[in-house]
Amino acid sequence: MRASSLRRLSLRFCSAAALSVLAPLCFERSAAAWSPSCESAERYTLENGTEVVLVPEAGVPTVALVSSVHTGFRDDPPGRAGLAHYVEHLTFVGDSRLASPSDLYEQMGATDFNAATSADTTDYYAVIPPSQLERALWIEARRLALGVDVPTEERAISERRVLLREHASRYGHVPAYSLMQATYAALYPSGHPYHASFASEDSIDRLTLNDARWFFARHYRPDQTRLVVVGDFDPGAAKASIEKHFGGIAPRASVPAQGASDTGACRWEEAPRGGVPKRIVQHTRAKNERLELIWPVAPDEKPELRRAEFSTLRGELSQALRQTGLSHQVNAELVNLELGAFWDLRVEVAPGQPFDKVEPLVARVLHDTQVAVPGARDRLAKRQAFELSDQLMRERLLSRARGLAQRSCTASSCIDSSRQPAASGGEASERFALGNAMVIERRYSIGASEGGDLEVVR
Amino acid sequence: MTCKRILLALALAGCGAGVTPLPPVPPAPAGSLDAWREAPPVAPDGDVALGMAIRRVTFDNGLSLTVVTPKGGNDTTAIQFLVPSAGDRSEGRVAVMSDALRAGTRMDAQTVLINPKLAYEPIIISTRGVGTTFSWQVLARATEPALRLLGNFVFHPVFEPTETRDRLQASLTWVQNDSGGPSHLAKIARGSLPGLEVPTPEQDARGIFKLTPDELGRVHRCVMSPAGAELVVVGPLPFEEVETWAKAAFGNLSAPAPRAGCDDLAVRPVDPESARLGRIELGIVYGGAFEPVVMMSTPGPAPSSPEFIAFALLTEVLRVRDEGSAQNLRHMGATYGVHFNLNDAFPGMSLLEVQGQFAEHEVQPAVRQVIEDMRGLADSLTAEQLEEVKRRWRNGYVSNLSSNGAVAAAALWQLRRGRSPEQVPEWPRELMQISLEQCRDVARRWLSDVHPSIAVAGLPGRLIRGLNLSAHVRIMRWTDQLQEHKKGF
Repeated sequence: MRASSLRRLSLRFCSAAALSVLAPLCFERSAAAWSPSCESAERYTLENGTEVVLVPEAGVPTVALVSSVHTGFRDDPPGRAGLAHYVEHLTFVGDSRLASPSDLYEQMGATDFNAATSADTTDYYAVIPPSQLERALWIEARRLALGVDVPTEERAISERRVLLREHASRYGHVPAYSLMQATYAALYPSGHPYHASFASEDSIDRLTLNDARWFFARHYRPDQTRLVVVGDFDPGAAKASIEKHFGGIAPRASVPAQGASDTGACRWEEAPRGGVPKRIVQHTRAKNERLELIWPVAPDEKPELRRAEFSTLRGELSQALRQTGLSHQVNAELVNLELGAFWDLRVEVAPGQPFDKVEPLVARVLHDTQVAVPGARDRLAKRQAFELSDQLMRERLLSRARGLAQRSCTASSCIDSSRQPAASGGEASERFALGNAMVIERRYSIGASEGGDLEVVR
Repeated sequence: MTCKRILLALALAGCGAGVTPLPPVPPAPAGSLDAWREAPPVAPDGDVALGMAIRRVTFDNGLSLTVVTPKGGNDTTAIQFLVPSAGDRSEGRVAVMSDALRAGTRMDAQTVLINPKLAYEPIIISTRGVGTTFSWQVLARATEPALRLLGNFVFHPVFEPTETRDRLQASLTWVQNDSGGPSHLAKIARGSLPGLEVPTPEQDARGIFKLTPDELGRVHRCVMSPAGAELVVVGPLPFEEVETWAKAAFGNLSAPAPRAGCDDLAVRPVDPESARLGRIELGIVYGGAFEPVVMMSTPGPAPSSPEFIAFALLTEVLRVRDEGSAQNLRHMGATYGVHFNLNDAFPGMSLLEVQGQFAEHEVQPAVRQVIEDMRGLADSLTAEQLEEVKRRWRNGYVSNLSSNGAVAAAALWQLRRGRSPEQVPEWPRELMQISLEQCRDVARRWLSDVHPSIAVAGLPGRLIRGLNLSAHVRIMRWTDQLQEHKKGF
């Protein structure tokens, strides 16, 4: 009875009410959502292999700059997880002779300058006034040319301690980190660059300045770097500055390879996922229980086309779980890793609710939603949502620049992500069926050990 | 089906023994650094012309409308609506009530909407000490229905019982999910700051359990009034059109007279002078699975005070300058970061907050360094440090104005400072005129003899001994994730 009353209320919103209360929103044009592959950009390559992506556009006087190196924690050698991140930290170190990049950026009033090490790339970025673009390009060229030659052994040790503090503050001793590691270890086959890529206090504590120098020489090469500039700048002057500062940078001396992805990383994109276990269960003392479903993206799948479908699933699940009181928080995202992306759906079980009732309901809603044919008004609302998100994304220069820095093993053409995939809507294929998913349970157990107990079911 | 227990340490962590050393790589010859010593000079700052038309009107019921039409920009409208004085001193009832507005919006006699959205975009609700802000970004052509919906959402809630129960459960889920992480530890530390009697609008589990639809209705009647409310609309729309829509949606609401039974929810401005402590107060909360989080707070001037901008600049200097405690503690490897932040969301005052997480043995020297840094700032502040933070603030502000949402937030901020929203494009100039002497004077008044309230949450076993600061200490214990902590000595 309760469900039907709620259904009635929401139907009013979508049908009669939409006409009377919100009529102006109906029957209007809409457009595709923003995606890097659809951005109108000038792209070229310097002689040393550095890629350049320029998106000049007049507007608010500001520029976002990203210098992205095609390396990340997937390239950490065995036993040295955390090395890519350590190198990122060390490139910010200055001394009495050479000001640090942070100081140089601060002097010119840059905002948002920082760096991020992900699985696949290490991105250095800044937001600057247009008049400072020349100087900002010089700073990033210097970072690539100097590498980690500036830090002393002593400074490198204190920076390693900063890394340890960062690790402790983010992950502490909570079971969530070990569950995440177990998930990746299960999702990617042994030897895959993501299989065992998580840093630990031990692996960080083992890192040395020489390790960082090796990593830099191996991976921070001009032909592995992509420069992205988005905002209010003169493209002619920017090209001249890029050639002047980056054109002369040569790679470091050759050093031997180490690690899983060091040669031909893209071969891993095709790695079979047959060994993925069906279920991982973690028993913990924490009372916040969670059901998580993961669907690996197939090598030939275009995930952009399924974003709308996945978002709809999340909405339907959210509503159904809320109506039963089982959950009030459902999150869904595409984890877009270069060598093996996956769809991730997380249901936070409401306090005191029976965990075992969640999965059957999720299975039913996933099935019902995927075989249902969406109505015309639903499709319109979705297209308007895409149009809005596209408009809002265009305001975010730095997010766009960082999106343009992401790499892909396969060249992608512009895809209208607001289109529905051909297979959805009443056809037999259920992309997000429970039976295709890896299931991860985080369960409360009063007798669990402090770090949580893991159980893997194949 | 095979089940297999995995011993975490063996399966995941690996073992240090047997890790192959990497081949030695010598640094580049010293001379190679020379080419990169001289950076291109910092280019002079150009004049920033931020084109936008701004108009404001106040309706008979005391609600004011500000419409900003930026030149250029995109095809969206940003709406921000601040209902002031909607804070409370008791476990975040206003915050929970504001979120429970999603449990039913009466549009007319027949229509009730649950958690209304446009193009799947929900209304974002944020309750702080100065009031509750409702933010929304919609397609420009949806501005009229959005304003109509927002007016009903805020002033005509239904609190449908089953929906309300679900919203409260959802709030509880959020609190519980958050309870395992370091942000919760920081929240506990903030909630345990001794000696500072300032409103804490964050919701917690105790507050949620006590609420019923009737109580939510009472809280709503007490705090949600159009009198003094500020509606800001930013988008590619003419003022006259927006004014007509806003008047239809908000202009006919009557402002209720002060009601009996609302005293517990009244928010009276705090006087920062009298809120300042005469001695350091220290609270210690034991518990958690993370390294200790340190929180320090001290009152500062109100956003409307002529001293406020200088005080905000001083906060930034403390955060970024190389010579200060924040950077020094990081360079020592004592912390991943010390964050100085000026919280301006209190009526009548601001609060300088310092937060950091440290290895246990570093907590004590870190606390001492930070206090000494603040006390010495009036003398140690240099013109270069001040110019750098002024330029960063100015450029960050300008850069943000590419977003209609940020323009709306900037207009609301100027209004909260008692300024006209027309100050939005002029603000960079005002900021750059703040002088070194002004800042030093403000530092002398507010920081040279600072006695912060300090809370440490985590496992700070060695903090008390040898702190060597005149401090009053209380010790608390975090007994349960939901019950937060109880005081003890």
